[in-house]
Amino acid sequence: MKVTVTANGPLKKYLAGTHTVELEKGSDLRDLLANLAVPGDSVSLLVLNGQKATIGQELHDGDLVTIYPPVCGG
Amino acid sequence: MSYQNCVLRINLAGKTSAKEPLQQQWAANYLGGKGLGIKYLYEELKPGTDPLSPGNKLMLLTGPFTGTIVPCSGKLALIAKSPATNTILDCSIGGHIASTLKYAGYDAVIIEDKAQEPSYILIDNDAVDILPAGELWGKGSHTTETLLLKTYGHDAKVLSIGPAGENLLPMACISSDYYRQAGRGGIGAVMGSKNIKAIVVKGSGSVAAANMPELINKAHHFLREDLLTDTNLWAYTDGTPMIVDLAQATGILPTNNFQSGTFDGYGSLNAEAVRKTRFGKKGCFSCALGCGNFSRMANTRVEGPEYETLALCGSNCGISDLEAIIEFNRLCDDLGLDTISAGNITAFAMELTEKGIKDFGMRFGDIREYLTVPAKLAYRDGSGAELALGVKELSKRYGGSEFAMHVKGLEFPGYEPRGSWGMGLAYATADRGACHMRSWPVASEAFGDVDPYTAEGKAQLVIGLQHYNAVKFSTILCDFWALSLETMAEMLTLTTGNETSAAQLEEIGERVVNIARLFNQREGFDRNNDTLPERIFNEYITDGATAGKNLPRGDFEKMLADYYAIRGWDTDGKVPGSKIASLSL
Repeated sequence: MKVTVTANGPLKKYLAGTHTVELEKGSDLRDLLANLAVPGDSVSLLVLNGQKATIGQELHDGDLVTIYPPVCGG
Repeated sequence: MSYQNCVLRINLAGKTSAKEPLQQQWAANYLGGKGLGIKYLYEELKPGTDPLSPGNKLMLLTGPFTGTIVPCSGKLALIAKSPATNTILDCSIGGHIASTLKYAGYDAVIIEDKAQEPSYILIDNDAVDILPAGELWGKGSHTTETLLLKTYGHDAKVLSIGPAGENLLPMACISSDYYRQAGRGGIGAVMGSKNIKAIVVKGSGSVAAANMPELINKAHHFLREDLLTDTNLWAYTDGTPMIVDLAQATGILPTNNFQSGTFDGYGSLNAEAVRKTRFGKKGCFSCALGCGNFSRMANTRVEGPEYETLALCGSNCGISDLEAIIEFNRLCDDLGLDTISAGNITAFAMELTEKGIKDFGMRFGDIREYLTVPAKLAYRDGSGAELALGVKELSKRYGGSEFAMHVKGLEFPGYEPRGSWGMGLAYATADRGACHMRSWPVASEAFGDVDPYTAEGKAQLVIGLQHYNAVKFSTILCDFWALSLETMAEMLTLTTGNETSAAQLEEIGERVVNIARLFNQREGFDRNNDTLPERIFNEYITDGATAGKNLPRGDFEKMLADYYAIRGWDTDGKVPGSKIASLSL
């Protein structure tokens, strides 16, 4: 299956633009992150199809994933 | 070391000023900035003082890091009693004024009484003058700053109010560097009530650090290894507009006066949308993050808009037109208005109109009327005369208190507490009213792994964050560097020469929170004021990721009871004598 990933803020230096990643059926967000060259510590929030997701959440073909760095303050 | 050991006291009525030594023991216990300012005001201000009377004091505080090479140390604390809430009020302003004031030779400036005519204060190192404001009075902050810089040169730094401060609005701010504000609680009205249009500072001195060579080494080390990392660089790459995306995804983006936490039009005002309008970046003194974005669209430009403005003046008003939000922001900055409160009162007026309670001629999403609000507010013109009351007082007049989104009279910042319960506790217990700058549990709840929908553990979470922010804003450092207390302690040891530990900083943070609470207690505040609007308890978010959520009153009461218990306060939320003694308040 294929999922589309976008990185935000300083994470763009690891993953510029929008990427399509091929994964095995049944993969989850943990599997996706393992496929990307983004340091685990640098990822704070995972958004799947526009909503907050947990690391163990299963992915499906056509999913859109956005990854965010930590943000302190507002 | 790293203090100037000098406080400048200005009496406006007598047009006199004098230097006095810094209270050393207070500086040791409270460091500077927020903590030291609140301590000074607690000791000097008569309880029950009307915040807009000559009896209130306006204090400007630097900290031991101010003017040094420590990164992100360019903020100034401003302290007074709040006209919006009657609580203690401390604000924080960036730009370049803090270091200039310290280089002029001062740890603090205390401004007392009221000038006989509209005036401005000039502090040129040792020389202090109170001069007639003349044609400056009545002008916007931007023109005021331009004229003063023309007179005194660009090495001068300026604090100014706009017409909102002159007209004593409870949402009037103080501006500097054109687009930075000491925003909340009516600090601008305090300055206006003293007949002070501006404060101009020139400083050509320096600040000594106890161990300069090691401080320079460590500052560079922390800059590379701790500050300019993925944890903090969101501020450089995007700035606070990034939070729009995070809030939307987690259902806590204020929409239509906090009826919803998700906004259909969010894509027009998120990080990507703002980045497209960017034509420059801006930072404060000593800051490598440079969070400021200059944004330009066809007919307007501003440094900003920051998240709070995008949320409260954008989604919260049902407005998705970025150009309109930028223009609203620019108007507020020039007129001297807090965008958080201005956005809230606009949204409240929209809901009153739509519900048929009181017709202010404004509806959610209506750009035309929306853009008339800043001027109406600042000049108390037309409906602005009533809108200027703020949501608390306006709801007393017409109703709608269930959805007047404030705590103690200060309007809500941009995080929906029904989607992040710890934030509800944070708003209710913050010293100056509904504030996100005392603790921000959103980072670990909505944006992190902590369950947002439980009362368990939230008191401890909020207390830890409150102590951290309180001591950070006393050293003074900017919110956006997520450094540890250990790093803070190491730099303090090198700047002041006093051996400092993280544990000592934690205690100072607790002390600062408690002195602020004691100030409020003396003004008559207690548990009854630590509450939230009925909408949060009894209404359910209408749609999006947090659809159907409320913050049940029972859970809120549990968080609050836990909070008082852990803090060692009594069940009325009061600081007991034993705590006053143990913290040496």
